[in-house]
Amino acid sequence: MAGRPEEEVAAELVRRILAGDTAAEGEMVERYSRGLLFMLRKRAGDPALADDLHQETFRIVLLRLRGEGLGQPERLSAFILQTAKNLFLGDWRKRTRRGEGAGVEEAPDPADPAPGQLDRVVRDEEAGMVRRLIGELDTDRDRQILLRFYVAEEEKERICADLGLSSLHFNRVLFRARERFKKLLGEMTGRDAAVSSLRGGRAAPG
Amino acid sequence: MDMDHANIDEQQVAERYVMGRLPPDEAERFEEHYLHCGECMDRLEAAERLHRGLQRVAAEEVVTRAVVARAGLLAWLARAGRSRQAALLASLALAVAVLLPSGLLLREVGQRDRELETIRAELARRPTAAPTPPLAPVAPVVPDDRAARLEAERLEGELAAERQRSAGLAEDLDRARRPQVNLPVVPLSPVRSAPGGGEPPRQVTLPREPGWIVLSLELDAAEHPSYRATLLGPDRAVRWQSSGLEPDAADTLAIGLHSSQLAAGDFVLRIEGLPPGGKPVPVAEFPFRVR
Repeated sequence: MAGRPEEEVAAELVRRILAGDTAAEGEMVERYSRGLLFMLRKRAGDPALADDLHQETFRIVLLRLRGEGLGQPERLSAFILQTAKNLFLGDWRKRTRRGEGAGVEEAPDPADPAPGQLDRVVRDEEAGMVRRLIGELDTDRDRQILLRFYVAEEEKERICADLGLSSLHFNRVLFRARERFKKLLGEMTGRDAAVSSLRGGRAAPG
Repeated sequence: MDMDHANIDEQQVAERYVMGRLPPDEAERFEEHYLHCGECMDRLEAAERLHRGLQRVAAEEVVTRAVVARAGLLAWLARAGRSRQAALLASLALAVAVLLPSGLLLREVGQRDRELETIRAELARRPTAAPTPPLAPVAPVVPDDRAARLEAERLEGELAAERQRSAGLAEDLDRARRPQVNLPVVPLSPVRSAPGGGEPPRQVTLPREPGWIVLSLELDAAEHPSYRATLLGPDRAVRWQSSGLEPDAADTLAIGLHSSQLAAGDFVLRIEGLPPGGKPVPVAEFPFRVR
């Protein structure tokens, strides 16, 4: 399905699911699962709640597609998103009524719960990679760009004006930093995979 | 905003999304896009982890600085050999002066205690509140006992001042958490006619002691899933804004405002509807006079 416009792929998935094609159901979940989980984790803050809502969203979407289909099948991703957001809001309202959530004045904000042990290890590694990335930057000015944008959360225009930068330079620094960071993440993932495979090999010799 | 990848990179869409800085309609369009776009998911995950990592590193540097000040490491440095002293102080000065301008330091300290920061922001809005002085920049490396002692004293002084401010904020927080009795509830009516016509605006009397005032806004019919409220001061400047507000079953929005946000003069609470994926729609304005 790679390379085809989203609208075309979505409409075809909806049509096939309505026709009872179970393989299409799997394809739909595979296509939208990662993004949906990311959105829900960002919104809910609580990974366990996000996982539950993720499953429930697909359950509801599949029931709808098997039963009556969609009025606008090419907007399948919008339908999935809206279903997930409704579920999240419903859950938040329930919690608020029970006195577990935020007050009535504010919409639910993404929470940042205390990380578990595994998360702490991952975050330690991230911090290590960030230090390495900062050390690799060409100039102090580039370091300031990253810190002012990501940490102080200043607007791009203000940073550019203060540091006498063009928008292009700013974009380049951020783009390179993110790409380099992705590469470092990739190296870490590759290293972890190699360690796991080595351990697996030792655990089951012969 | 076009959801093509060149534009997404150029506008830092993924970064602004993970930091919660995209306008709601753009965020929604981006969500619809990344839901099926593996490339943008890679962008998002990298941006999110970079953001988290940078914040973590910045926070650790702040802690390091505080520990250095408290433990009198500078005094120890003064006794150390000159080359070691210079190297350590230079790296500390680089971390603090180059990587973390004083504004960042304050912000990171604030993020360590969100509740405290909320109160601090609240106090900063009060006209009588003194602005929080920024931390002075780290002094250049001067390898002698006197300079090191002065630096240690200055840092200790900052720490003491920060503690004093924190104690004041904790007291305010404690006061705010106490049960409130007989909160004034002021029903407000919407005004749709031109300013100057119709009835004079509703009067709101400030309580003697600082406290909460509940404004009850009756909407004609809740036509939108959620609403945005904006409080405009006598100078028409925005004093407060909040989105995602949902009316109760009687189509009423009850908004609690702290009296410190108000002063004598004419205020307006502007209510806008937030249709899914659309721009805010004006619903009504609720003027009131504070005295």
